[in-house]
Amino acid sequence: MSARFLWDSAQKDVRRRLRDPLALLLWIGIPVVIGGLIFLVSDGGGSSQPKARVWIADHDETFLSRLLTSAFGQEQAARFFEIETLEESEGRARLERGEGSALLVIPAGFSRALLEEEPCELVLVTNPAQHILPGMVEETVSVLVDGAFYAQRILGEEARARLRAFAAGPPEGAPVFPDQEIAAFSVLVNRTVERLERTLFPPVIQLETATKEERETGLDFGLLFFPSMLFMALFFVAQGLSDDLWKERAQGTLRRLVCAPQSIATFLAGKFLCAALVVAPVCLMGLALGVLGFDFAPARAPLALLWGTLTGTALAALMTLIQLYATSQRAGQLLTNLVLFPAIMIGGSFFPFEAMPAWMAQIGRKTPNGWALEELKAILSGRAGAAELALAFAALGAALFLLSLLCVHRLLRRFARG
Amino acid sequence: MIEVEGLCKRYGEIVAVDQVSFSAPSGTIFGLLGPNGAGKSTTIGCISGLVSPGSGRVRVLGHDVVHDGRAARAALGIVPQELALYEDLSARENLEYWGAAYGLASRERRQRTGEVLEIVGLLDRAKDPVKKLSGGMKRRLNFACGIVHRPKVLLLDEPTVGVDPQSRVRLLELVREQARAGVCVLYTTHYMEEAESLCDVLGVIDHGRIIALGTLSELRGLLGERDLLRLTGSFDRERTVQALRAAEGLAGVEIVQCEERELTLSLKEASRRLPALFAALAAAGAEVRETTLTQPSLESLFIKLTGKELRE
Repeated sequence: MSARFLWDSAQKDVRRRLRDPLALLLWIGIPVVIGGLIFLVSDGGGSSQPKARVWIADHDETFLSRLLTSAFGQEQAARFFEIETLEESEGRARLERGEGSALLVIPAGFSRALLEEEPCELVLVTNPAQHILPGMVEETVSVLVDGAFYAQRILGEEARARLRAFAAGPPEGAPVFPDQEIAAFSVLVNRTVERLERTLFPPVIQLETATKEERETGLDFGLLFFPSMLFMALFFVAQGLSDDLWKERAQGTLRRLVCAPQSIATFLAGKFLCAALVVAPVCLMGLALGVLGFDFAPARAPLALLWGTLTGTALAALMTLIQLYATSQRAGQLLTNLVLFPAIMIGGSFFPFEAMPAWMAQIGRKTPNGWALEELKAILSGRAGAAELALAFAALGAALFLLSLLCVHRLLRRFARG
Repeated sequence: MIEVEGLCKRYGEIVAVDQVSFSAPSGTIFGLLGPNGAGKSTTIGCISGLVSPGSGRVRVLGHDVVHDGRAARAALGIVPQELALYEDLSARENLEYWGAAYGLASRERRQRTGEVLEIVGLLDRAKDPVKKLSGGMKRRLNFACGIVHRPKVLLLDEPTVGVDPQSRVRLLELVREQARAGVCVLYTTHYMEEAESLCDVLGVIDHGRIIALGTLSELRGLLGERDLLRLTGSFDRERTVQALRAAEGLAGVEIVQCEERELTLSLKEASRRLPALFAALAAAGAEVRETTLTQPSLESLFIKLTGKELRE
């Protein structure tokens, strides 16, 4: 095989592709458009965290009720909750309109009931259109109420007396509580904590936390859909490239080439090299979107680019082989469609495997493109080991080689001489 | 040179080429003449390696096209009947690619591309995409792609089909230049006048068989040098036939057709025997208004050999 002629053939085909810039732009545009749509659907990226919007109607309006309200806005909880205090009627009206996740109604007398250990009912109205977020609010309220109960028990009678005083509001005529009362309460809390420390530390029961190794690193919305969409784009590009041999045959260049001393295998290898050079920018564009929009690790992008390019080239070889068995260019288009759409559907390039019934996903993962897609996801999520990757690249390379051999055989035996 | 010995090719029950043998030395133009479907393109296909011969042997510059195909193909240049060009590439890019396909190195390819563009008169259109060239220009470029690598043997398969007269003249001149440069040219055509004006040696092929082979004068000799004389006017059939048979100096005259308004005769040395002929016709009361004399041609040879016209 002449390397020089291989490059000349690839260059010739790239030039021909460049003379049709609209087709090239469309191919590159497929992942851009699909990626953009996913970006918009996923609310600006895979790393965004959904927040529960909680309306709070505080009829008690005491120090303790405000403490409960502000607990939702603390550092950890603030990541999950967006709080707004409003009138109960307004909160209910908003929930009626489907806005927000829950309305928490703190009744009048909440503080007194808490301190006197009397029954008290907190009302939590949830949005029936949501499932997970209202559940989070319910759990959090329950934990906070339990926490408040045990805290006042631990602090003792003196602290409870001071809390009662706080709950009653500032002394008459004073806008705020006197400094000495706040200082005295702080000292009391501090002493209680010191006393508890002697009992609690070192803890009698040691709790060892073992974090299970995260297998699905970064498996988020982007990783779920984006590689699938990229593969769909690769399929369309591969199909678009595959009918070029029909064009070569129609314009007589294929017959002229068969009469030339250079081998048809080199000519075909040039076509696949051109396919790789067309697929690579499409992958690059897709991965750039993935890095920018879905927080894919940039360090994994080169390997993913290589994998995507090799996969796209193998798909082009597969589509070319199908075209070579067709009786006409039109039949070739139909045949490739017959393969393309089921392969996309079941191979996880349209519906992610995670959204499929288990039995179908199991079959889909065993299809060639399904397997290649899973490898791409493994590369992007960083869970693919070096040995696994080496094996996957070798298998894909072997598949490309085999497809090329079959194409050459078919081309020489019938197609080019037809 | 090209040597073809006992070449046969069948497609199922159809015999496309049947025991075809000929040889064409360097510096000559060998014409393969025959109607459509006679086996010309299959013969060219077998020589070029596009079609596998069923039996027989084909050698190009001594290289067997089956057993030493690569060397044989390297010596060949092909100008196919249909255009074989990349429409979206420029003329120069096409030539450079076909130069590469025949193993020309980059520098030589660039130099040769310029030369060939000048030869075919397309230097000023070198950068234009082929799709913007006229039909005649495309034909010339198609020819240029066949000679870009300086082949020793050039196969031209009806290169002037559908070409305007001006481009045809230019193409034929280009073919002659190649032969003058020592290239062995195999030229297939079904245009009699083209074959007569261009070819040094001719093989007439029909139903896959060579039915006549030789130089133009040798082939004309096969006709017995009989001219065709066509007269229009007014003729009494009976009296005319009697007069022609009885007249002195008109022995051997064959009456091909005798109608009231037209008389066609086949005879040797017609121009010398015209006075005797007119005298005999005058005696028979015939009135001659127009006379057409046709010398022996490939067309008449083909009719004689096959019983049909070439363009049928």
